[in-house]
Amino acid sequence: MPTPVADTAQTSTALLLVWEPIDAARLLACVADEAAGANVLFTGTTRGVTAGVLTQRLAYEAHEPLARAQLARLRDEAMATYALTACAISHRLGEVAVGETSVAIATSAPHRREAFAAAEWLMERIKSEVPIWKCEEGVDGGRTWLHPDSGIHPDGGVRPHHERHPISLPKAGTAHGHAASQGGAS
Amino acid sequence: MHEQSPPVHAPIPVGSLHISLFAGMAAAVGRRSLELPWEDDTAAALRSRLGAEFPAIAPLLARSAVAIGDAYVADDAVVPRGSDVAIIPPVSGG
Repeated sequence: MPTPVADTAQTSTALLLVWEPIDAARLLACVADEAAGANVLFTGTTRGVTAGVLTQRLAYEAHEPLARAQLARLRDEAMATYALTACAISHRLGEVAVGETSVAIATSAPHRREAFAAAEWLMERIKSEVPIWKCEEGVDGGRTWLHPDSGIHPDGGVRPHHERHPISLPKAGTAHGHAASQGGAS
Repeated sequence: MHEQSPPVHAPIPVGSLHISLFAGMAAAVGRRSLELPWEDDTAAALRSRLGAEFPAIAPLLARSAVAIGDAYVADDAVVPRGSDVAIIPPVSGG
């Protein structure tokens, strides 16, 4: 059983890969700052049904050093692009039961627009660039690793963001649209 | 002297690669890591070589990236002998 790994916990820019339930409230507290008037917390949770198929739980694995490096790169890019005050990201590894949080992103900024936009942007990038994989375990016991036809380009680089995800704001209730065809969580 | 798995702390032999596999690729091959005899060649050549040795993962390899240590490398980048390499199939976190 892998031991939990927590790097810079409780700092304003926490990046975490964890084997235990994510403490979203604590992540949100990480980004609190007197300079921030807006604090956004996104959590992605394991769906019980995807396209009519029942999921019992998900299991996640990662290339941890590379995942941390990619998360740090995305965090830095988000901080600069959206002029964030702070940013914290936590992704669960190992088995995650239906209804539990698999990923959480907290952002803070002087105003809400940047905080919301950065959280959405980070979520899109995490889902396509950070080396973390989910395995769906169905109620029938079947296991399927998901390798969607998107994300990392074979040349080793990553596709320009606009090629994969045309800029659009999610509608209420459909913020997880990409996952609908991939199954699982957020 | 028969070949044996080196101890965990042994240095990677010159002239070989240590390759880590993940997720569906590890499941298809039935292993999470491989040692491959290797002369300096590109990341693209490594994918071709692995595809030839493990045809079951050839389609997934075509959509995978190569990483050395904690950085992705370009298709035409040389993967030096002795490298600790990871094959990164399309990701599905979140």
